Amino acid sequence: MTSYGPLLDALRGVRWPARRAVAAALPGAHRSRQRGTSGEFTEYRAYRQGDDPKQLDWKLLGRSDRAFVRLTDDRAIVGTWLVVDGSASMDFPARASDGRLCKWQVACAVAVGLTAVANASHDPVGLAATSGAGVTRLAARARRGTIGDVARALDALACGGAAPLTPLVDVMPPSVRVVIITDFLGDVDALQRTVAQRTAAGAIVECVHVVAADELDPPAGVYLARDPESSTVERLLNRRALAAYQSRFAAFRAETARRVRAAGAGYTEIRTDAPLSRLVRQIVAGQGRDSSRDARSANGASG
Amino acid sequence: MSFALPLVLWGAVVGALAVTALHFLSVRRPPLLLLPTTRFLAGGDSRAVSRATRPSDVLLLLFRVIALLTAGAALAGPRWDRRDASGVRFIVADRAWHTDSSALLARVRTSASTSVERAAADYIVWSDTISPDGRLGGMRADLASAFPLALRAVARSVRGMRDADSVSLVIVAPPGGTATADAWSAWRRAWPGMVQVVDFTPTGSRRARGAAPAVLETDAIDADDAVMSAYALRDVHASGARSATDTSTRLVRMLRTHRLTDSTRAAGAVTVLWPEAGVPAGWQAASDSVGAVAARGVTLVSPMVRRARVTATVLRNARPIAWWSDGEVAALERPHGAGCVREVGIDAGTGDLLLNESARGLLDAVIAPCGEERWPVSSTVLAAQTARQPRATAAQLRAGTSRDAASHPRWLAPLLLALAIGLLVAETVVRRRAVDDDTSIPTSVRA
Repeated sequence: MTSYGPLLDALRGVRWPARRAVAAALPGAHRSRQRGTSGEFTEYRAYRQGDDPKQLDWKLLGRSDRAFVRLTDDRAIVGTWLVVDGSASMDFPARASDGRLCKWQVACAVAVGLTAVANASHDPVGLAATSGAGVTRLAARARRGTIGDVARALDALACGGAAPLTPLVDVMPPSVRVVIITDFLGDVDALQRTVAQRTAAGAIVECVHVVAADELDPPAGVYLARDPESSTVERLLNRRALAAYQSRFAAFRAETARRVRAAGAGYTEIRTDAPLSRLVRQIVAGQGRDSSRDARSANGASG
Repeated sequence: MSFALPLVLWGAVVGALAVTALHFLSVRRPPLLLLPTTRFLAGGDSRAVSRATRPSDVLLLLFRVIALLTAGAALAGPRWDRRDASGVRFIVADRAWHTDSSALLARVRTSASTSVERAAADYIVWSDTISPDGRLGGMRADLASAFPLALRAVARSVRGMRDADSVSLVIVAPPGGTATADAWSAWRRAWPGMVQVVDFTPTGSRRARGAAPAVLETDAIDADDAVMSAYALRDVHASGARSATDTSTRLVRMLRTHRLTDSTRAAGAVTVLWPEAGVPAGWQAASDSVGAVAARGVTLVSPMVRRARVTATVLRNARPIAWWSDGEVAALERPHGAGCVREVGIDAGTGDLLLNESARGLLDAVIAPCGEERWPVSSTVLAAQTARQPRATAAQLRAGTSRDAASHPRWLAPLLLALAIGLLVAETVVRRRAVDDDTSIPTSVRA
């Protein structure tokens, strides 16, 4: 099994609060939309007919002769589901080539890191991953061994095929946090529609776009490039075609970020040549590129 | 084998070289790179061009090159030369020697330098001595006229020369014949091969008018006049009793003391104004020294005093015939009626300047017949100049005189053309088979 020890050590103490108030659930670390039961005072509200008289602040009523109700915020857990893309396109660059990590390895490490961060807040974490062998699911659990379960499940998978992610996201409950780790080179249009639907239904969706350094700057020379997911797509890669390629790829990434953010989901682009702990912190902090920068870079590249 | 249009064949050779060069440019599939973002690359031909050390598809290359060369040969008008093909010789001679043609041919044949020329078939082209307007014409007037006569004769005889592999030109020069330098040079360039000039003196021939010796008529008072002494040394004497009907000599009036007037000018002849003292009319008086004077290609080198300079007015409508060493004009010729007037700005002095052998160019230029510069033909000199070139090939003359590109024998061009078409068909079959056999290229990217 891959050793994730250094990564987990680097992420110790990192917390991952939900981007917005979550639905009522068991007590946890995230701000809940439910109010009233916890002992942490938040604010006063004028008494309205029908309110429980037990919530009246009697001392305040005695001092000021005005009836106010004490309001308190609840904290709740949020279930986190990791949806990891294991299609053939994620196996790039080829594994074990001069020590560089491929997109799949980076995606696995990020998934394990996010599991550790979520598990530290006692959030249940589940896994749904595609691979050459089909779809692998791991039920959401909050126990301490969840990190190892996720790591072992991912290590057992091998990239392959071109299975879509949309069916996995579609079945996610609306009250959970869904983290989609993919390169957006599969069913990108359907996935973006599903993301919009899940977000509208109340789910918190975080999209992690994995980009290989060799995709941004392909190796120099003349090659016949072939799409690993479609052998019929073959194009000539040379110095003259490189500029147009980079321009189109930048425009694609910018458009993807814009559409995902427009759907209300979070978007973070990560590169395979960056330190893994920094990538996890980047996702947790929501430090993906903003849409205005994306648009500017796309215009600059196409111009 | 020769070709009527060799340029077409050369074009085919260039095309074949280009095709061969293209075969050294290898069109291959580059190494494969699995790239998930391939979709962002522009579509198009997925093959790359690179240089190769060995030609690719040698069989195809052979088919293409041979087909190109064969087609080029077919279109270039091929002529299969027979083994017994021989040279043709055009002899241009004065019509006055028509009755003496056997002696003329014998003279030409004895002057032939190679055995090929001795075996050549002879075409004699006669040049008219008297032109239609009654003047001296043809080769008697100018040897350069032999070239257009020969070229015209070649154009007429080109169809009959189909079996000839080479053509030579022999110009039979009359004694004392002259040629205009510019005309000779211009026409000489029009003849593609060797030209041989042979002198011939038939029995009882007379000196032509064009080369008549000059007789001086002078007004010099001094019996030891430097100019007249120089001419006397060159066998050009003064003659005060020359009759007006004498056609055996040519009159040159030399004015040493008198000015040029209507009465002193020699009508229809050469009048030379070479004053003993002073300057010719219109010239500017001067007094400086020069080191040489050149005329007719001969330079007289001697310290001389220049006492006259030409002016722009004087040079108008005049032709320089002698030049100082600094480039200024020393003597000029001005046409007047049927004759001309020559003005000489050289101070002959009283010494022996003109007695020098190097003064012959100046003296000859001053008394030469009116008109363009002419030089006497030296057959040996001309032969030496012209014998450096090889004989003209029949194809050269055919190309220059005729557009007859028919092949000989007639079936040769169609045969070559059919062979070229057959090779191209075979090339197509071989090429398609090669593409079908190349399984490394996916169907979607095959050209």
